[in-house]
Amino acid sequence: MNKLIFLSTIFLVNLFALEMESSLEVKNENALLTNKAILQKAVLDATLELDFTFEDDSKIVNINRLRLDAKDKIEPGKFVNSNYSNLAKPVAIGDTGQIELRELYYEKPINNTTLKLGKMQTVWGKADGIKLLDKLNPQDFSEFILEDFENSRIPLWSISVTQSFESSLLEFLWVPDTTYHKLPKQGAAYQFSSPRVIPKAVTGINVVFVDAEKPKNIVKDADIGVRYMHSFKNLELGFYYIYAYENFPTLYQDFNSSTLTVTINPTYERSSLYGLSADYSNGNYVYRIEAALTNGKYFLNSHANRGVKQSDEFSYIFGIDWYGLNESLVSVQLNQSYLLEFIGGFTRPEIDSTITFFYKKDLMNNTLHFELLEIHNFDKTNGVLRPKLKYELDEETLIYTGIDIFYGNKFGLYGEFRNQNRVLVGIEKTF
Amino acid sequence: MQNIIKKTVLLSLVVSSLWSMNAVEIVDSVNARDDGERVTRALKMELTDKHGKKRVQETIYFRKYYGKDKKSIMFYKKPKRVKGTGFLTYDYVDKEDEQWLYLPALRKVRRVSSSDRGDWFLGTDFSYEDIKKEGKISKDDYSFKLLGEEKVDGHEVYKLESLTKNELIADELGYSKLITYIDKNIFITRKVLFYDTRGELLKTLTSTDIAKIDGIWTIRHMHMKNHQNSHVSDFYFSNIDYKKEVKDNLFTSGSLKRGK
Repeated sequence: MNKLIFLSTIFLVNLFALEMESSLEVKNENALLTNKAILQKAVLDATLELDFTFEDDSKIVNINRLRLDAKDKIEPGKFVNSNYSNLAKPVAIGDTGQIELRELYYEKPINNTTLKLGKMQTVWGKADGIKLLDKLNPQDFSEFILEDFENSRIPLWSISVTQSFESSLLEFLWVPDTTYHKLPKQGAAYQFSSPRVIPKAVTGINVVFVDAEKPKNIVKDADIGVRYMHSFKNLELGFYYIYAYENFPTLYQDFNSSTLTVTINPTYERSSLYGLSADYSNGNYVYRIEAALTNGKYFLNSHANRGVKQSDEFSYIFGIDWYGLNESLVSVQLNQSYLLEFIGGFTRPEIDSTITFFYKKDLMNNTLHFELLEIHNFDKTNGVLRPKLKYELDEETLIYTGIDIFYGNKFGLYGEFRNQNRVLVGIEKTF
Repeated sequence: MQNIIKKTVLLSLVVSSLWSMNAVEIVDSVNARDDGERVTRALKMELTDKHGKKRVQETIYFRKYYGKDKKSIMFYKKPKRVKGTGFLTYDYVDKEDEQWLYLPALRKVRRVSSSDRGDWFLGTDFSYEDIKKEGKISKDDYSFKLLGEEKVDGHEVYKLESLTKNELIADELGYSKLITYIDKNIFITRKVLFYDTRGELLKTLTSTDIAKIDGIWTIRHMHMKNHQNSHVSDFYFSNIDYKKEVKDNLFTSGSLKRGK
């Protein structure tokens, strides 16, 4: 019945549309674990996009994705979707596949105002590879941070209203969709185990995870965001306010001394973020910054009641892009996060620092591309290194190969996945 | 009798020197040519490598002058893999240009450096400077010498030598010298030979299918051959409209993200 409704809708929309464009991207990606020489994934993705444009310049965009994994080693077994709201859930196809309505939105320009409503991705901020202001949409962490953000970002049902002025814009966002991060389940390849993220189990104590109780009220529990962007001279400034549930649940821990059991109760808590961004170009350099002050955030603290403590957090990402080499980009970013109410017992440092390095070179008239990304976290000295080579066989076909290398302390955010180093080979074809 | 002949020849030389143009005047005439306060056009780029493998990209381009400054925006329509990619440029006369790139896969508008004017434009054999100039010639970068007059494709042309003024400019542009063949009647460049910083022939541009559209002489086909890597770029311009309204809000990062 749902299929019939969907197809009928497409037919009717097409009837009234001025123009319809479609594209189908088919991607096959395989990953071989280097330490065991076994195939970690053999995934086929098919993404169908339909764009309808109408006479009044409005449009409807629909993106659907089918994903099949022949190996089922990334998240073995039943697909877990408890993080999704009812309207946003992908549909499982056995244990190894899923079909998902990725995006479906209507966009209408009315003079200098743009109204956008439906299921969509909203991306704010200026950083690459790491996120600070780009927090409106939750993320699928099934493959940790290894999947492109375009594919791992979870679109949400939202309403956006943007008002454009001569050199500025003002955007209001209302997100009633109570979908949060998809975290790797027990036994998954990229299950979190770092004590920074998961409370450390003590020998002799049982640990029980309870299912998270998600906010459900689409009005009372909706997230809101406002941003104002202004350009003058060579500078573009942005100001942001986001009042939203944190996409990671707070892991309250309750100890039962008679059963020697710690029950972990994941609970979603709200926070307020006040942010700003700026970018500026001068000669061969582009400078980027985004900063945020977050009130009401919770962090793991082994000395605190129920194992968590609230603290305000100030974070920034400062990036420099250098275009001084031919057909190349060199980009460095420093990300620091400060816990403003630091006391003993926090499982993360008072100042947490991460540096990223990105190098990109285009060769052979932009048909061959080399990229190298490194993310290095100074807490417990660990990180990930990701070289990648891509070649355009023709306009619509891309082949690529790469390596994902985790290194460093096994208790670090990245080092914990040292046994998941892998070699990737893939092909993408667009029709 | 001989005196009369001598006087006639002298008079002819004086008259011809009064009417013939010098190099700078030719450059001024090229730069003064009307290219429309605004334009909308489709651009099809055919890129062919030395093995004969061809890639085709289709874009739509808008440009508008604001006094001597100009803003332009280009959106990729094909291939589907890069559809939605957009490139926005603010070209200023008196200060550094500004550029932004939108990649649909990143969902972000990214400010990029505008300083690399000698870099290849999006994988083609044209540089960013070649694209930005749109057939005009920079008097800040070159000194000029008129080499004579010839014919190109049956059209009478001035043959102009342009030498980069210093090594810094040569390094930035990637050229040490240009030989430009400029149509004597309509002051459009019909052919250009580009020499690299070592003085070797780098590439040749040939402009054909030149027609008057909305009263403005317009090139509809540009063929650029890189002699050093045997790569060829053919640009075909179509649906050219100098009269259609081009709104100011088209040249914004919001428009770049929306795809128009």
